[in-house]
Amino acid sequence: MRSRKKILVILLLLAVSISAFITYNYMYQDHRDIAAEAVDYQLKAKQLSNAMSIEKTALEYTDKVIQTSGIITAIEKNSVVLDQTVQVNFLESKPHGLALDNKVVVKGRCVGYDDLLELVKIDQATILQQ
Amino acid sequence: METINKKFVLAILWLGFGLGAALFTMAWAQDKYLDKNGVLIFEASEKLFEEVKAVHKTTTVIYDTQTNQIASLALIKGFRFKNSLMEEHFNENYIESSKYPKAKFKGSLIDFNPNEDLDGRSKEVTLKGTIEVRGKEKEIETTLTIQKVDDVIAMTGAFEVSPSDFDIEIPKIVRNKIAKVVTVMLDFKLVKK
Repeated sequence: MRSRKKILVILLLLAVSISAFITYNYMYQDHRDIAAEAVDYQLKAKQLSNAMSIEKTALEYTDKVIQTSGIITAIEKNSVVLDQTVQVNFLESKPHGLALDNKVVVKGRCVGYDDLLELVKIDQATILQQ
Repeated sequence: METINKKFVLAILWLGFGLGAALFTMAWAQDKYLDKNGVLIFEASEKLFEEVKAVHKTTTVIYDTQTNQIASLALIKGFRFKNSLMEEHFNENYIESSKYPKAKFKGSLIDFNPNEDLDGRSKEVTLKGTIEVRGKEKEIETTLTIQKVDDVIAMTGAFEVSPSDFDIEIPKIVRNKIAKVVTVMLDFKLVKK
């Protein structure tokens, strides 16, 4: 009799801790790791910008992992601009050795299209080829 | 003779067109200051509960010193929360960022003379304008601190909005965990373009 009660209590505790663990994991799940995710779309900076400037096609690329390439036309704080059409912000700090007029291949998350500057914005980017 | 005339006229036309285009870009280049990496911090935390805070580091800001107008655009998906589930809910349930991907601001500095007031000292300047989120507009007025150091115009400040301004409904279950008044802080560093 006593041992049955004990088992019941242990089972109950187990159930509670498992559900607590699951809830906690759900509420505090990790952010997406864009650098580790597979590339969804691969296209040149100009092509990406053309697609993103149209609202309907933009949805297809938004929030997706994009691999894109182009010539660096501007370098700022933590970002570079490719072919004057795509602004790429790096995951952490800007990688070393980036120079104007160099061609780079980057991978990052497409955030959306900025129609004030006519610029696609990519964040959490990493360099694939330099 | 006639063909030469035609060519001549064409050449003049092209020259005029080129000159016009050049003047246009020069005019544009002269009075616009730009920040592609403006910072916005959005905070709606309540005491004792988990912080509700997001940082946006790629806000676009354009300031026209000729008209004193400021235009800004923040892509909603660029707001990063510490808690990824919060970020997901913010995008999907509250702002609906696939339907309304942008937050926009349009306004101007009041009683500010960029030629005299950008003298290196910091100034308190009134900013008036309209914010658009989820297709809803809201007028705001706030005070910015503006200072020009070397070639950079720094603008910092804050303003308050509430979710109801943009018809955002907060579900009952989280209502006491999210502040009724949302504070938005801004930190822009504009460079002449």
